[in-house]
Amino acid sequence: MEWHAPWDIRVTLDLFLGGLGVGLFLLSILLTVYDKNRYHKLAAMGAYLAPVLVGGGILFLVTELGRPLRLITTLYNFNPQSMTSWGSLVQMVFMVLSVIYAWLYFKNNTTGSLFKTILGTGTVFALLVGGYHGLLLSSLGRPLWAGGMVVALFLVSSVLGGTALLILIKELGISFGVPQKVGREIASASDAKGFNFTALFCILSALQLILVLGWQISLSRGALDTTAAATSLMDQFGGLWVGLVLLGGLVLPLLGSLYSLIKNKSSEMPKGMALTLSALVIVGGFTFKHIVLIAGQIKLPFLF
Amino acid sequence: MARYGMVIDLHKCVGCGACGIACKNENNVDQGMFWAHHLKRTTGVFPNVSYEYVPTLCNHCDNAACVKACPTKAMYKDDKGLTLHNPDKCIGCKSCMQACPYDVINFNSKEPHAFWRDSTSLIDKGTGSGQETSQKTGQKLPYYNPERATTYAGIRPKGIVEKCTLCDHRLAKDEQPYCAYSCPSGARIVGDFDDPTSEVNKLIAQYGYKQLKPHAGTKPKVFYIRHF
Repeated sequence: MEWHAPWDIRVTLDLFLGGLGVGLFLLSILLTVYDKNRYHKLAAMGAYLAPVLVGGGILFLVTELGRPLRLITTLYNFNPQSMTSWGSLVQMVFMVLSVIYAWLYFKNNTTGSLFKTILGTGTVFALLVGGYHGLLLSSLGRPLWAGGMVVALFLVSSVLGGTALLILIKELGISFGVPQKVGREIASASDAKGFNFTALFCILSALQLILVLGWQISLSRGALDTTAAATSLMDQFGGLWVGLVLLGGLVLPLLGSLYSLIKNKSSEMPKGMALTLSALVIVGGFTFKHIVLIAGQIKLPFLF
Repeated sequence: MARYGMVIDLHKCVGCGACGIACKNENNVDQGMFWAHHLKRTTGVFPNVSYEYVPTLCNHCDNAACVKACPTKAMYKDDKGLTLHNPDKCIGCKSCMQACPYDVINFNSKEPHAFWRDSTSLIDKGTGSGQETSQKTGQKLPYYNPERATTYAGIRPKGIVEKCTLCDHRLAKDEQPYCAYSCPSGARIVGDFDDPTSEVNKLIAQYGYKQLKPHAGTKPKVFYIRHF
């Protein structure tokens, strides 16, 4: 009988879109704290897109449920031992906070105590949602997901993806829903006092590359079922893993951004390079999460 | 409090698969899914070859991973130590399937028992179709066992999971699970592990035992004795 993974691409889309949303939200808050006047447009775009992306991901997840209309029961049949239960709660709170955050940006009300409260609580819940994506998998005890590394891998991948998406938005000059009176434009790429997106992009790419390689090495030195899971991942998805996840999604972005920083540490990547590398990071991030999700579900030879 | 579980005597088991068929019959289990199944493994090089046949089912673990993973408490432990499933609470998220180290939880991705609604015959004008058999017997499922519905959904609907209940409806009447009752070699013995005088406790004390994936920490309650 043909094998099908119990969780299909809709779960990947939830983890991927949710991760992008969390990454954008965190970047938006970072830019707001850094210089909210200078980066109003970019921070506002992050604020608007975050709930759309996270909500879109949740919609994909709901269609994957056998009984989607019973989703609300996760709140009143809450199981404190279940990561999925906590995830439902945390994502619901984050959705509310991110919608309020976006509304405050839309109304250009970014100075009040409510805004500051949302900045603080929103950051906490964004990190909780970002951590939950990996924790959901690692809590299930399957050999490829166990051990906790997946939590860090998914969180960093999400923040890196969010950074890449914001760089795309910045380079393409996409902007909507920003009040007319906000006259100041996004920081110019050559402004030494501006936020250095390239440096963040470089650091996150390097961190994720170290985490992924560290994870793979620790898997290959693990117990029998762990090594079987790692071997299975490479047997089934080796080409995509090396090509899109490692080389395209991490090594090239790292080298490109590093080259740009070495040339001029205070400048941003050239537009063409920024667009290409950001797109590669997003594609690589999706491939990474999809492969980890599917490979983790492959039935391994039963050891008894 | 009782703690029901099973001992499987691998020296008695002949690998006939009757337990799997009996289970399907008793619990109205659809094609393509198994509450009671088996693992097979051949190892070694001729002439030193070893063949293993290990019957499997829900281990009704004391520390059940499926119960922990379920976001709606649809998977739960009852007062007999059984790991049971409430189909009315299940949202079909499949977290329990992912968490179970033994892969013994099944998901109804389609409307169950499609065979009995299918009008296709194996041999045209030679054999009857599932639909024809269903109509002649006047049953949606010709081998439907109404006893199953006394403690669990008689037929589990699309969109939820299902698994072995250790025939809780039979245990409630002090009857053996049907797989144990039907085993021609008496290889399956069910009893209360909290009762020091029970046969299951005597057997594991006499022969020692193996469990599947003890490292998973789930404390399974299916004990294999006299392993080859």
